[in-house]
Amino acid sequence: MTKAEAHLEVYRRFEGSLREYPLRFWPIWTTGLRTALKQRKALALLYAPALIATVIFSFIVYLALMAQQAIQQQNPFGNDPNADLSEVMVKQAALQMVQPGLKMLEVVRQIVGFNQLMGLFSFLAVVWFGSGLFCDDRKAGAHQLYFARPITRLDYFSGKFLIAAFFSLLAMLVPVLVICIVASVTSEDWVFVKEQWDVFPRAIAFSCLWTVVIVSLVLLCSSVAPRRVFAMIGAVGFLMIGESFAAVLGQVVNPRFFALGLMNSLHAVCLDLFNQPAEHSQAAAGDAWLAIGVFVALALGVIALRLKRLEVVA
Amino acid sequence: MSEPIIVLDGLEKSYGSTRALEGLTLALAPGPTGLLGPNGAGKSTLIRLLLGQLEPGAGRARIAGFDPTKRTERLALRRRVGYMPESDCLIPHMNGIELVTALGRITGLSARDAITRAHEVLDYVGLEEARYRGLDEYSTGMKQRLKLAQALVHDPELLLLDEPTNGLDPKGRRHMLELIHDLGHAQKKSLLVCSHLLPDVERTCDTVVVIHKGRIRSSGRIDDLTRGQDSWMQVEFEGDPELFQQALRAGGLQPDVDGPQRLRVRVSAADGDGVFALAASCGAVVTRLVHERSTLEDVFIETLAVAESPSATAQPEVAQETADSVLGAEP
Repeated sequence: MTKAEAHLEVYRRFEGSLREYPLRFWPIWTTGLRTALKQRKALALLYAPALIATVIFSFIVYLALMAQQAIQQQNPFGNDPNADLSEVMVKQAALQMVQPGLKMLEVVRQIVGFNQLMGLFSFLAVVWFGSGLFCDDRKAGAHQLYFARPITRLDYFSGKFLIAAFFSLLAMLVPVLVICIVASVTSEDWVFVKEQWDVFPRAIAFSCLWTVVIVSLVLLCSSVAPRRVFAMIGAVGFLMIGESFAAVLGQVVNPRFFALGLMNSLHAVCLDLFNQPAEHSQAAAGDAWLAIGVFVALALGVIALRLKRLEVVA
Repeated sequence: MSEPIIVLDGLEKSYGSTRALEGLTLALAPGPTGLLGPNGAGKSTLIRLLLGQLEPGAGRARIAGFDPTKRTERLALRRRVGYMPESDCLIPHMNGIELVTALGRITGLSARDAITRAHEVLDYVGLEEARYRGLDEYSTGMKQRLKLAQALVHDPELLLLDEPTNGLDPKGRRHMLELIHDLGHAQKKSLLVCSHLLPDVERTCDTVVVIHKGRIRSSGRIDDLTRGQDSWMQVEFEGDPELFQQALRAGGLQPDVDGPQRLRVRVSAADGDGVFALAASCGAVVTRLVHERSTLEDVFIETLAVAESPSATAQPEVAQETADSVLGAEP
């Protein structure tokens, strides 16, 4: 063979040194994220509604706070010692009518309702971007490349988990923080920050909890399904069937069975975290926490077993 | 003699009741080595054990001085080893440069080094113009070269190449073999080339290990193995064919007629001069004598034939002694 037939560039040796990253999952996360972010259409479709919802809720919170401030400043329902009895009675009746509305406009209630809505967008985003994380690798054989590198199964899992978690938090945490910031800025003399500062950590805690649960569910489906589309169907089906099953059992057999529905439990935990009263047809907070804990533990256990197999099959 | 790069001592692995590897004992010196064996011989299992992806049932292995069963050593050894898998194994939704860069980063290269190395190794394997193309647009040959590039990105001292010429057309195969030969000889890298294609191993490696049914059947330098005790000589001569054949038989050789004035004679390597003497004794003149070296294929077939016989159980003794000395095993 002549040199012209086979093109051979000169091989250059690497003169530097290899680093030992303490966070070995970091390159897996950043690489996966960069790859996922190439899906511009999916990003636009999944996050445009979330963006619109954030704008609407932010506006509602702004209006609510402005209304509350106006009421406090003008005090239209205050008692006037010189007013006659009929005027006082009219004011009291008006106050009775307005109070539930004002209560509904409280920022905390807005955030709880917002979490419920954004949970849907977050779930759809995680299903779209997370369903293929394990099964696509397995189908393409990419796990053979990963597990020939200096990483452990935990590093691999952590990198993949964070990819899905990023998309969940983008739909859950970021909008809630935006609303909290709007509330802080709108409230007079930073009253929201001074009096309701705990809404921030509670919102962060719930977003993180939601993310852990939803990402665990989607990654569980991805680890057992042979293809991405099956993982997507599995994740959506699990939630829908589980929720229906829990609702029937909760209504017919025992209300404690409401906790078997993952969404129901998450909503119960959300109300518990924000100190809101429980609603009808809803799991008790204790049962909800327990159900979520058991589900996450089981999901992570199954994922660990599947990843062990993935490495061995590599 | 340099320190062995791979040492196996009684390595065993079973899948249920199936014994994939049975007491492998071996010490491989640095340099290009071929791991030959038919499908199902245990080659891929051995590679997985070397990478620490499988736990051995019994025995020990050391690669570049590291024990793959220990977590910290396993991670350290994977920094020094490059692996090119047999099957398709490309990360979806990436292009060539992204894949090699990402794997370089995961191995421990800084972001800057990873991108530089990715360009260098893609140039080296001849994918400079395809580096920004999506992987789904790559041909089989390009995928094979990309797999080699990702194995090289961190400049490992040992390369484990599993069927590197799988699915390649003749031109692509020739290019791949050139690259492997260059890595093993010009770049002085240690290679373990798993293949069932004997010419590939013969062309790229100096040493070969023949594995069959989970056991090492033969190992050594290819030159030594193919030289052998018995081989064939092609003898062209002038004189009476009958007399010459009689003389050869009288001299203890077995001639076969290969033409009117041509014989094939099975002789030992040292018997070349004897043929001249026997020809002279019957008045014949040897005009041409060619020593037909046995090919690696002959060695392989012969080794497998011996392995199939019921009495074939022995492991190479030299390898056992070397492994014992390296691993510090009790005699």
